[in-house]
Amino acid sequence: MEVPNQLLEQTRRAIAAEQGWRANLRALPTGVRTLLAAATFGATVGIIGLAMRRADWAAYPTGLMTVSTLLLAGGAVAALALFLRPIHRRAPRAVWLGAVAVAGFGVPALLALLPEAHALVELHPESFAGAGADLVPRALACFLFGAATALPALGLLLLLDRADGRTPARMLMVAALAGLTANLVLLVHCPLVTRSHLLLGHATVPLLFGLLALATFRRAV
Amino acid sequence: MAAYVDGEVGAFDQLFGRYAGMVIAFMRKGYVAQADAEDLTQQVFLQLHRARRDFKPGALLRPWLMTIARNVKHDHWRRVLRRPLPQTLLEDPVGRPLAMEDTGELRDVLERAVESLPESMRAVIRAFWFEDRSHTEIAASLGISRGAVKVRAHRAYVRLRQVLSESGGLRNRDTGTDVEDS
Repeated sequence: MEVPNQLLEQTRRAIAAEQGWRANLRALPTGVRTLLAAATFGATVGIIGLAMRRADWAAYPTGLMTVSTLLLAGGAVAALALFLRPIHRRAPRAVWLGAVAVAGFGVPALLALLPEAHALVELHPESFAGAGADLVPRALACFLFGAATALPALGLLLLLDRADGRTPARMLMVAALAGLTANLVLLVHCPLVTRSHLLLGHATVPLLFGLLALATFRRAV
Repeated sequence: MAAYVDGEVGAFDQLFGRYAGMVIAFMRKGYVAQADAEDLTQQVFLQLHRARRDFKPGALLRPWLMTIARNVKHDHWRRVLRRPLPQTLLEDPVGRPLAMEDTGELRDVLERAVESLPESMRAVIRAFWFEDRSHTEIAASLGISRGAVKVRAHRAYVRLRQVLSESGGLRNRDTGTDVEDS
């Protein structure tokens, strides 16, 4: 097949335009990009966990904390790996993308629906605040806090992305990752355990990122 | 490729000279016009540049590059098929509207159906449908008469409708029956 002369010149120009810190970030090997992004998301959760740890940390059931962390972190790692998957590898199967998307939106809701940690009633009764008249203000505070803390790592993730176009699957992975990270942050920070608070203040954060992803994608089409 | 990763000037030109023709030919297969194929080829080499540090020394470049090409082409098709379907495909042979039962499935079927068309029909459908060009412009670019463009477009639509109705994708909205060609 004959190659037009100007195509080489155009391609050279496109490659020459790949300059600057952003180009350097996305040209990093995929392993480094993935580690960098994972470390940033992990650091976000770690810093909040150290500096603003939930008041009932000592009394909170260890098993529930472990299961919640594994589910949320597992989903986040899967979403991260799928989002940063290099283009020289086969595209992931739709079933994997669907499973991670479901986890991104479903796991926070599932955790909110689990039986409340009733052992905390005596050890830390304040954990059962955030209901009744307090429901909306406290849920809104958690919603905004969780969403805001996920943003810096989300920004870095988008800078590490090599793709030019946005596809629904990729945007869903971003939304799932941001939502799961926000829920990890809230898990280590928020001491409230009432189901209504967790549903309204925690499980809705992935929905926000999902709507943002949808809006961004529609604008890109 | 190792020389290119190491930053050797001129290595890219060698890579491009060796593989660009193959990538363009791959892009041209299955209903992609020359101009789009060249754009996509440029994207492939840009992605190769961004991913160059992922390349393992000693690995085969050709399958590595062709996987990039396949993914770039796949994304191209996804973008194209998200656009609205032409009204002409959504009418039965006497102009009555048809209902789409499953848009996602229909588009997959449509993608395969378009790829199954002869090249002469694909070129007309592509220019009219995806590039929004007039019959006159298509005739000029293909070097055929305007009437020939219309004939090819009509035959292509008939064939596409046939494939779509056989797949159960298109049904007459009034009667609920499958569409038959005139």
